[in-house]
Amino acid sequence: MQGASVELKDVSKSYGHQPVVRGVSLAIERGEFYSLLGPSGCGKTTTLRLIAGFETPDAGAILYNGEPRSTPAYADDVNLVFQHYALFPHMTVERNVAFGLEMKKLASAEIRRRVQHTLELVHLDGMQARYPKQLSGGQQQRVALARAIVTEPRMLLLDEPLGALDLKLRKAMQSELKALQRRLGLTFVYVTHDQEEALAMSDRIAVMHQGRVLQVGAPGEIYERPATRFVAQFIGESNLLDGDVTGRDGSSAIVNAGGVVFRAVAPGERSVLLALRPEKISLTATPQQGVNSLPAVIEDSMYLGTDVQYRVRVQEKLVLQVRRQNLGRPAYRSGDQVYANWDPPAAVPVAPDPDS
Amino acid sequence: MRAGPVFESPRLWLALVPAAAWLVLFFVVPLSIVALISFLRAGAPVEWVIDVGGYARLADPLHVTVLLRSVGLAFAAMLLCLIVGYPLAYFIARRPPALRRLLYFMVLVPLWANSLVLIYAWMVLLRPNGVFDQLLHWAGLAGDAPVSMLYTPAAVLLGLVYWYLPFMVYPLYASLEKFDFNLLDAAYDLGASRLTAIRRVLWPLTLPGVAVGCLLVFIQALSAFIVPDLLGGAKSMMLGNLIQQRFLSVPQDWPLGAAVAVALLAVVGAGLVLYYRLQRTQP
Repeated sequence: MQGASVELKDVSKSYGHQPVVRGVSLAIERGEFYSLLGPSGCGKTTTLRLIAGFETPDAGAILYNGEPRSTPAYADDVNLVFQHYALFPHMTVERNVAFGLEMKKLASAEIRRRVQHTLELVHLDGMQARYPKQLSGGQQQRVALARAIVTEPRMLLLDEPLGALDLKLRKAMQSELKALQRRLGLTFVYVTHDQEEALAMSDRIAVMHQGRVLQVGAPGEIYERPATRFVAQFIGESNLLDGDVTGRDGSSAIVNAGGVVFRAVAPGERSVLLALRPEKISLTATPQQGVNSLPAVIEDSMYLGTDVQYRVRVQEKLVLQVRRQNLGRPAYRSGDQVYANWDPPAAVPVAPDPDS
Repeated sequence: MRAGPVFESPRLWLALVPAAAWLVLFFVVPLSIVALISFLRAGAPVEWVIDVGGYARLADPLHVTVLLRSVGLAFAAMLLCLIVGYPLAYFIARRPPALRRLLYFMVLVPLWANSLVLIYAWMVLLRPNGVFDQLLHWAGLAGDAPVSMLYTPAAVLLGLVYWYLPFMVYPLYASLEKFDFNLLDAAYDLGASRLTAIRRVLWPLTLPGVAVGCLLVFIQALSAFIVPDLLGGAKSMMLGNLIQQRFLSVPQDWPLGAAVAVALLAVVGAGLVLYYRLQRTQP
């Protein structure tokens, strides 16, 4: 069994006068774990329903394995795992999982064998006779998964499949899902609003906002080099430095952001927007060489367990969020005089968001 | 389900007195009187002698015909209400919420209009030279003679369906509104056709609504009185008319009329018991 590929070319979809998906182009490769990530209302679920064939695009094309979809792709090859599982409440676990095989009119011995095999795969053996409401959320999630993979599809579309589970269970299911995807070689298209989940599981992520795809890339790329202001703020946290390039010093640009002057790796434009991750800033008692090192005052600190988050004011002008690992050393306190240091390349230029 | 502890206080039991008194006075007592009359000898109107002649006369082929016709018409009305009501309830349940409430309200409107007036309207529609007759002639579907649908079993059936449709749509709508339509998408996604999805998913999950609707329509249609009285002729008499005639028309036979009423109650009671039995065997 081999995963399928799907390509969206400039796809748009409106409900009434409300544009929901606006000119989305994606190329999802065979066997890829591909996440559509964005806040609620960003069009990710509609994009998934377009791929599933539940909706037809108003404009644009969807290519399935490089070919136009003459027959709906979901008929055989593409199965969906629904957000709230959509298990048939009047059927047992076994009947639920067998449903897709019965639709294919397989022999009952074959159906029984494959249902058994799939239930073992998702660790639900022994639950055959239970009804969905007799199962925990995590078990229902596994039944939904079993029901979707038992027919051996080539692509699985998952709509916030872990959204209803509590944190511990969600973490466990994340690695289980990922392992299952590797083992089956399926293409997964995974919709989520949880950026940590997307970063942890995906081969590639498409960040969506207001019906548009803002950036596509591997988790590391998305996090380290956010393309726009929205991506920088939605994926993790970012300090946004809105400044002007006032001069150049060799390969770096001299940037003035709100009266604070520092060096940055920036293109030649006059004004620049830089995203700086809180954990890329260090705090020291003395100035550091070879990096931006600016005098600052601790305004506030928040204890987060593994980390401590500080709000510092640089040269009485610029406020920065700084995140330091909790290494057991005494933390800084409000009013402490420190130096905020970062490597110039750590501040990444980002584009403004496209107009809505 | 356990009732809340509210009515465990003896003083609050007093709150039940009006309802209990009402039921005893206007339901238990009259029903007991009817049951008593059914076991008396026919006279003018009854003699105070215990007698089962009323039940014996029930077996008269004439009365059995009325019973069978009533059951048949009530069953047909129930089926037609289901066939008309299910798609209607489905349609309403799939509209946006605001429109849904409006449409549902419109289905219930006939219940608030005076039903007698509504049936008179049907008489005007169905009588010779009435709207139906003229439509048939205009379409060239009838000969020269005027066509009357009035006073036929078909007219009674039409009236029953019209009258009791809201009672079918109400419980159907209630169960369809609760139905998670994602389940249909899930069935399609797994390769089910529309028909299969309906048969295997929608229908079994809305069956409780179907059962309640059928029960409500059948029970009420079985004891219908105004509809067969106004739209039906001598050949479409139903149990309700039989009861009324034996009490009020010559030849009076109160014990027979009462026996019919008791028999009707027994049939309905048996139906209800069967229904709850069936319901309990469901998972």
